[in-house]
Amino acid sequence: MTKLDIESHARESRTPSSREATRAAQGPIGTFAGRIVREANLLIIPMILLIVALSFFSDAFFTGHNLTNILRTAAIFVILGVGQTFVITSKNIDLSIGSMMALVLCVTASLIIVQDWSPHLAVPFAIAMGAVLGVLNGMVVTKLKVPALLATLGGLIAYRGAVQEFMYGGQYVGLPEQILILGRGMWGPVPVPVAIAGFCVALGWLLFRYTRFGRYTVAIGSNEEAARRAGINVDRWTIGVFAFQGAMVGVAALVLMGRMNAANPNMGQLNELHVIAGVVLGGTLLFGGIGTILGTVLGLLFIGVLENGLLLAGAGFYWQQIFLGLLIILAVASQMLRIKLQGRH
Amino acid sequence: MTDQQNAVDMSEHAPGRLGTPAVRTIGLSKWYGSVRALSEVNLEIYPGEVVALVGDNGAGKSTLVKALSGAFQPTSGEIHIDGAPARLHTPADARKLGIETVYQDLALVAHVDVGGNLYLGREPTRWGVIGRLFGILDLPAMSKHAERALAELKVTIPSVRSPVGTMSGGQRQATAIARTALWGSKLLILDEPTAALGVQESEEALQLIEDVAAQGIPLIVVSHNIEHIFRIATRIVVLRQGRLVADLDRGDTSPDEVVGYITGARTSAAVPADAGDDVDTAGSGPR
Repeated sequence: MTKLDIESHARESRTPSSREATRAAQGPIGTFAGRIVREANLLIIPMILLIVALSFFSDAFFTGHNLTNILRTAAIFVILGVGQTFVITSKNIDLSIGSMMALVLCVTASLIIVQDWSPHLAVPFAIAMGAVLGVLNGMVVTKLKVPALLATLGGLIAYRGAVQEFMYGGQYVGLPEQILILGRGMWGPVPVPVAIAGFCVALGWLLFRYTRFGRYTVAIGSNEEAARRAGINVDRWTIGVFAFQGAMVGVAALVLMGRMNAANPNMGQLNELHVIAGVVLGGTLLFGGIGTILGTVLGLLFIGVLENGLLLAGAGFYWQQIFLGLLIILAVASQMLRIKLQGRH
Repeated sequence: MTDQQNAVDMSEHAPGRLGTPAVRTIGLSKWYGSVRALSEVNLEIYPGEVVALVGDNGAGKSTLVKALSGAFQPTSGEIHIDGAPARLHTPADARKLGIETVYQDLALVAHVDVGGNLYLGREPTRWGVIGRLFGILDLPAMSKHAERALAELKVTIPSVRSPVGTMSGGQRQATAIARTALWGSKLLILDEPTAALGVQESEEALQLIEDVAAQGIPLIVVSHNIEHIFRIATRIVVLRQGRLVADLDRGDTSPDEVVGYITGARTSAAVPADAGDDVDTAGSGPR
């Protein structure tokens, strides 16, 4: 015991800066704000520049109504992005989320409208159904050994086909009040979808940093073989990651349903790419091992602001698509550059 | 004749080799189809020993190490731990019984910090039942214990909170060795611990191995570097064509002799007393 104390003292005196080093590793300021800056430092500056530029060029931008609108729109993407952050950190990807969301949404809406289910039952059902579909994705990836990119590309097509078949060209309109609140309501000054997204972000952030789930997600994405040798059940945790993404899809489906007051089989198209762009832009490494929930929030808000700016500038939906495509390429290119500059990861 | 000589050797030069061996293999063999990778290996390892396992490529070193670390099952033979037969079906079994292995690629997670790597797969949780249910990591305890474990081994790293990926090769090796020392209680296996390191880093790794050995847990070190072996080992075991061909005390042998056994220039069956059968098979073996 004494020997140990002496040694640790000796060590301390040999490296007097060890404490400072620890603090430095924890961020410029050990505060919440410091953490945000560290987790998404690359994006904060362009984000601020973009907002400043938009407030200059458009009177409509910096209004409460417009900003709330941006947040409402971004909320659904953020909910999806929390799950996708885990998926991408584990060196996987989930392209099926847009189609999956439409499927969950339409099935849940039909249960409410046709089968007369109570919304209180429909909410847990939607989340559970998303999780089950996520498990399905995870099983294909881990048990059938299909790379996630292709497995979930199959899911993207198959789930979309399933929902089209299920709806048979029709749509449901007119959902009960309890569902509409999820997409349109206000909770004090905060729009309910924004509050739900905030809850999902907090949950994801805590899971990512402070639990085995987050730790093993990183380990699997960073060095799967090392994780396996450390006794981590890689398949089980990978399925868990896809299930979590699925559950988030369920939540997003409920919010979207409430927002649209409708269930249409064409909903959610291209949402997966929007979400992946935001996640990668936020700093989550497309090659696994590094993930940041707060970065994802920033990345998706950035895209939201940008799209809003394009809209205010009079550019249409097609321009938004062009920008989204360029953003994905830009985000990945910047990550490649970062890896090259840092050397081996 | 040789048998007797060896029996004398053992009593004279290895006073530590008394009582029950921590780990013992009895007639361990491994066949890959019709190829014999390991043949009737009898090896006893006692607490406090550092056994260097040497041999040419394909001599059976990694086969023996993998059998001991539970990576696969031997075709025949037994492994005893503290005198009791042990079944090592998986690496997890071996770990549960206190056998830890540092593989050549270290098996560290670059994006997780040092503390997290030391505890990977065995993280402590906090907040009682709820913490266990949700797997809430006890991060402060992990950092604190990691710091203490590293200090005990005199390993200096910038911070246990820095990701392994930001550290040098030597620091990574130290982290991997510290992890085995933290969890292993019966046997630590190091596969080529200095192969990927520079001169200075090798020196630090060797120092670390000596510090670990001083804690009394026996080590098996697989290495090609004769100089390093003579520096750290208390015993040198030579494998050749799957057979244990020499079991030498460091003080009794020379690098030339060890190399002779490795290359097959020397063939006297200097194996432990109970290996009479092995001598016979050696006589009727290939060549």
